[in-house]
Amino acid sequence: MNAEAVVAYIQRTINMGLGAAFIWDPVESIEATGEYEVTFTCRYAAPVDLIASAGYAAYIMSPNVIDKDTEWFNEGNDGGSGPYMISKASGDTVILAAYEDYRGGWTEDQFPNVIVKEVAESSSRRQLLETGEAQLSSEFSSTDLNALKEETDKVYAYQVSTFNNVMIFLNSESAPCNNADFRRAMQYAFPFEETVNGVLEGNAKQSVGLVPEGLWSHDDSILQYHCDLDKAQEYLDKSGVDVNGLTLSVTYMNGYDEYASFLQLYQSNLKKLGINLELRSMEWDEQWAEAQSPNADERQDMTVMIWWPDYASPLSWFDTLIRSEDTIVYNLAYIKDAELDAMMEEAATLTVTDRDQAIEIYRQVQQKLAEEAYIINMYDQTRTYIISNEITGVDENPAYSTAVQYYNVTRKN
Amino acid sequence: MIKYIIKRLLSSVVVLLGVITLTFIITRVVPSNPAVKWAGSRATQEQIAQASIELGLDKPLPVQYVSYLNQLLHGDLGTSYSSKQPVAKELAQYVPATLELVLIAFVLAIIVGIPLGIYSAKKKDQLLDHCSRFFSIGAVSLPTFWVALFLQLIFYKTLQLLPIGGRLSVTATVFDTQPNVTGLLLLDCVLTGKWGMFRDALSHMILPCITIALYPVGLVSRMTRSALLEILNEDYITAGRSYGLSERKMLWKYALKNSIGTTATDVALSMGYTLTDTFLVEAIFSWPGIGSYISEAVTTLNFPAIIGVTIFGACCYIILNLVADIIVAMDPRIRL
Repeated sequence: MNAEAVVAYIQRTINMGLGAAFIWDPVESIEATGEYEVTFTCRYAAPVDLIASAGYAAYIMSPNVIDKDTEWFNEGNDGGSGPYMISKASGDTVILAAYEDYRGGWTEDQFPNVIVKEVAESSSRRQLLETGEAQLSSEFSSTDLNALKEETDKVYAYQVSTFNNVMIFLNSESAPCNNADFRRAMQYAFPFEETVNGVLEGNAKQSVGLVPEGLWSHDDSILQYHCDLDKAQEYLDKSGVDVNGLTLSVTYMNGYDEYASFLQLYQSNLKKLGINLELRSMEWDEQWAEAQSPNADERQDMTVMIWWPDYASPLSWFDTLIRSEDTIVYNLAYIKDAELDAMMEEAATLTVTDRDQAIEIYRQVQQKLAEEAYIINMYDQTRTYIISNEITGVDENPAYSTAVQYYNVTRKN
Repeated sequence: MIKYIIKRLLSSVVVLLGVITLTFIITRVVPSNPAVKWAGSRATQEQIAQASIELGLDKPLPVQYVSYLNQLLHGDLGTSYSSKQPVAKELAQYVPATLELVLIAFVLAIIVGIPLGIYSAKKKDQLLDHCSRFFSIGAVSLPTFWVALFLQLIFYKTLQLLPIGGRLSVTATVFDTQPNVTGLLLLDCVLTGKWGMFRDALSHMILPCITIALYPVGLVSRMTRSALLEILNEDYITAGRSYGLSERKMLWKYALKNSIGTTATDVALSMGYTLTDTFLVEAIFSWPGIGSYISEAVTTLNFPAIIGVTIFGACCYIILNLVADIIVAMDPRIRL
């Protein structure tokens, strides 16, 4: 891999304009200025180092294959420079074979073959681990996960943080969520602790602020709400909103049992305050269409959304979810705050030249957002891997969600 | 008979057109934007607008419908939203795995179910009959997913006799190449002489086949028993017995032949149902068939895949229905 390959790939991605090509928006031109040196000329200040290490739209592939189409890649062909090659690929199985000449070299305790197989059923994955036929898996049901955690003679659990967080956006352009005290009441009514410890059984962490833990500009000093129905009632009274016959609607994605569970708890809490909550599960695009309705009163009152960064920067949250929009895209709390916009504009530029100052500004933005209670920051997701006692080295960088670096996985001596 | 078959084929075309039209309308009426799915998550508004044009969603509905029919006539079932692959190509990949499983399951069902039904009828109200009826009712009543999980627990986890799932073992997958002549793995292994892989594939097939076969075994056994009991009371059977014909001949040659029509119809229809209803079994046994494909398509509202599988299912039903009707029509007692 050299500078020419980097330029060829990135230019191809920019030209295609598909998928996450938008991450290269700041780049005006790119040039190979040395065998292993690439120069980016940007339209505006942008963290190109972070963009270039994004989880998608930033892979570098061999110039010999960049003209190949999806079909060619789907046949199991590859064109990277990593430690493994695709040996076989079928509908549910991919077999990786070690690339013998990999620059990092190989040791005897590394694995020459890695089989990644789709096994849909949690109980089947559990049995495969218990019998030793599989050595690594994740995404278990809570029953299977708890059972596996007990089998310490065979496996161990490894919980990793992710950059995914789940939030509820309050429709601040329509009554009653356009009332700040009402929104604060909604925050105090949310069952944060029950959600994390009960519904998710500890497989998540309550969010603090907008940015998930582990990503720069996350700050534990940001105002964090907790479930307190007395405080909720206090803010409700302060808001002056008449809750008689009040029904709020919340939309959430189909197929996520945990969303339904914590929303039912929320519904129960709100009922104690005299507020009805209508739960509506639907496909994302249907939710989105409703949230983008030109008439604010026709939109849902609350939208459950999960977010993750395009690359390891909080910009994705601030720029996409908080910045004022003329056309509604993802700012589904409909925040229109010129002061916040100016702060985020400044912080985005400082990200490149003075990151500490950018972090401070983002902290202030998050604090203000929390005080205005536009968004219920529920939890940061974690992921638990169950790993055979026979192997070690499994790790996950939250910037590359679900990507295990098999090169680092070795047999335990 | 030929006229009958032609008439049935023509009416089948009408049925198929109806299914295509209905599924097309449903996919356009369901509140979901295919362009958003096509463009992927986090797509920009421009990308979604471009996707709308690419998918022809900017055109009037009748134009979209005609365009779709034209595509189908050329064998084009559209492109999957998630994989961006032709649905026809994906079906060609997944269908043989399911077909193989279901065919073997039904052969098993017939081999076990018919004799069970016959002996149950022969030994009416005796212990064998009671056991058989108990088994049949259990077989049709037990939930498929429960049977699958139970068999895995016993034969894989506890006894370690059979594999947990998949079509082949890891070793065979890594170190050997799967033959691809017909797509039916067992047959392909026989045709290419890969006997080791044949044994491996067969061992992987046992549990899912038993799971799928259980319902039709129960059904076939019950239907055969009921039909036979009716016929065994007929005058010609009594006459045959009094002429000194053996009981075996009476049962297998005369009575069974006259009772097979109803059973054949039920087997054919339940086979059509099973072909498109294997998703639970395939999910549990990680079987790379059409059930896995459709369950993923439904949860992601991948409309081209859903329509493709629906059309495939409709064609299967039509063909199997026709086969059943032909079998019944071969009975000279039936006037066409």
